[in-house]
Amino acid sequence: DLSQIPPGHIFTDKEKELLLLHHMDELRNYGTKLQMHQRVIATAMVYFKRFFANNQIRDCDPLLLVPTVLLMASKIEECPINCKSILKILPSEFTNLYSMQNIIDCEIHLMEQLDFNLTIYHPYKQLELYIESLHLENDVALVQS
Amino acid sequence: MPSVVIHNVRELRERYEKVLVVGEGAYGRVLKATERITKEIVALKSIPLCSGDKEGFPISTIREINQLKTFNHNNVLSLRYLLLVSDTKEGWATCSRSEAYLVFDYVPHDLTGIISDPGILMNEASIKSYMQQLLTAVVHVHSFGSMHCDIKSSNVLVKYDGTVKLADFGLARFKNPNPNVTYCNNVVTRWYRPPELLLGDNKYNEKIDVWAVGCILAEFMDRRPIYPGSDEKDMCARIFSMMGVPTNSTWNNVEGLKLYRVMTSGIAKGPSLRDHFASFRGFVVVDLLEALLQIDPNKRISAEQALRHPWFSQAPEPSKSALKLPTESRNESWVKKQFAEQEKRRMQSHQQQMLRNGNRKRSIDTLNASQPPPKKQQKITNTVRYNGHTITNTIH
Repeated sequence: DLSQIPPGHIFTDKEKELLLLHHMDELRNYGTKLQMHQRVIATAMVYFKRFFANNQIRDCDPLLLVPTVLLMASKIEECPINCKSILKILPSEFTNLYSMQNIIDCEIHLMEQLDFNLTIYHPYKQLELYIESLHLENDVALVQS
Repeated sequence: MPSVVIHNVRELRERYEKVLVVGEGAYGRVLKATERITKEIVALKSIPLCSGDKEGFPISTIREINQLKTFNHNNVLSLRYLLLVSDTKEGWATCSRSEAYLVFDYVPHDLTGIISDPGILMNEASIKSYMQQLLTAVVHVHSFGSMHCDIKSSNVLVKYDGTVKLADFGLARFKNPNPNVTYCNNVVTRWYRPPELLLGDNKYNEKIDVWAVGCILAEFMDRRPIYPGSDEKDMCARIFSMMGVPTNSTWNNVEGLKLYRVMTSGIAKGPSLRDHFASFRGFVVVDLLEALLQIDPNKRISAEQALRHPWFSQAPEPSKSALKLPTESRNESWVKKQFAEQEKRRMQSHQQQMLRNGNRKRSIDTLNASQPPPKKQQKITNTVRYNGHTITNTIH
């Protein structure tokens, strides 16, 4: 729980890793709630990890970054979702702290930090072809979902 | 491509010296500016960051940046920098208070300007070279599974040495691998819209760009746009009167398109494409034109096939320096200015004509001065009594 952490706390590598893992889980949860494609969630995760590869945790609240990467990823993968609908599924601990304007402002910051390298290449297509070549027809549908 | 984030407007002014506004449109403005350090002339395209609805960074802008970062080709106008100008002194750039600029090399001419300047004499070698470069650019764009969606003569820029640069990826987008995905139907400037878009298709593919390239080739040959329709219906009338109204037998499932019935009613048969270009009879270029302006997108050749067309290997060889381009820029805004001046001159001559007519009238009046002047109209006064008050209407 982040609220328990005293100010000025320096995260150890182990803690950082745990934090990232925790947010990956959150991204997946929210993504499935928003009925997002697997691909979009994967893009959002890459953004999240890339952001914190260049930034310290204290630079940006991960709580705010979660909806931001989801919004960004949905736009890049050509299935834009409404900012409002993201807000709806977020817990009250988020909505008490931040508003839609914060997400929108954070979005530009995210793009800036990613140096506008926004296209993420995923190996889904290759995986699909690979499974097809193995004649596992039942699993093709699973990958496509 | 480095992106530069500038945190205030003053810094922008320190970097660039604004020269003039080159273009203005729905997307924003294009400024011509000089980079103070390198003394290079650049074009700054301002892009809107805050659309009216609260959706954050507009998806169209993201698409444009994304496309521009993907392409790397000599005939595609490349992005030098991306500037994010924010008014906030410190901290993050925020959406509501910032502007974004795409910085490109400044390219003086475009095909609209070159084609409509009567002072430039076209020759086949240069047209061939321009078309070849344009098609290589289109092939490059298509090879990434992308569609430009706004090819027109004013988006094809030409450098002094004759190098063609395809520009403005504001509407461009990547094709979805899923063939059932629908796209926005309202793309491409009207005169360059292919029949499938005019008929309301929203599952089009990259062949829409090929049609637009065909329109540009026809524009080269005719020195004016081939289908300058005043609206969608007029566009259809112009295209189908030349090509014939498509039916299911000539174009698979065309009658199932949304606007088929509305658009194909009452079309008179006009001269065919070959009749229209009768002065080019027997030239190979008409073959290419016909292949590019094929109304059925499935039968229309791809950009790659078009590049292999025999016209390009025939004499005269394509040469980009065969045409001497003027030093002042010949672009869309030049054409508009020219047009406005023409209009002004016409208005002036019209006014003078009127004035002259007026003078003649006056001189006739003076001739008739000996006759008694017409009687001054008498003042008619109506006085109405109403509730004891007198209301006076004076009619002169």
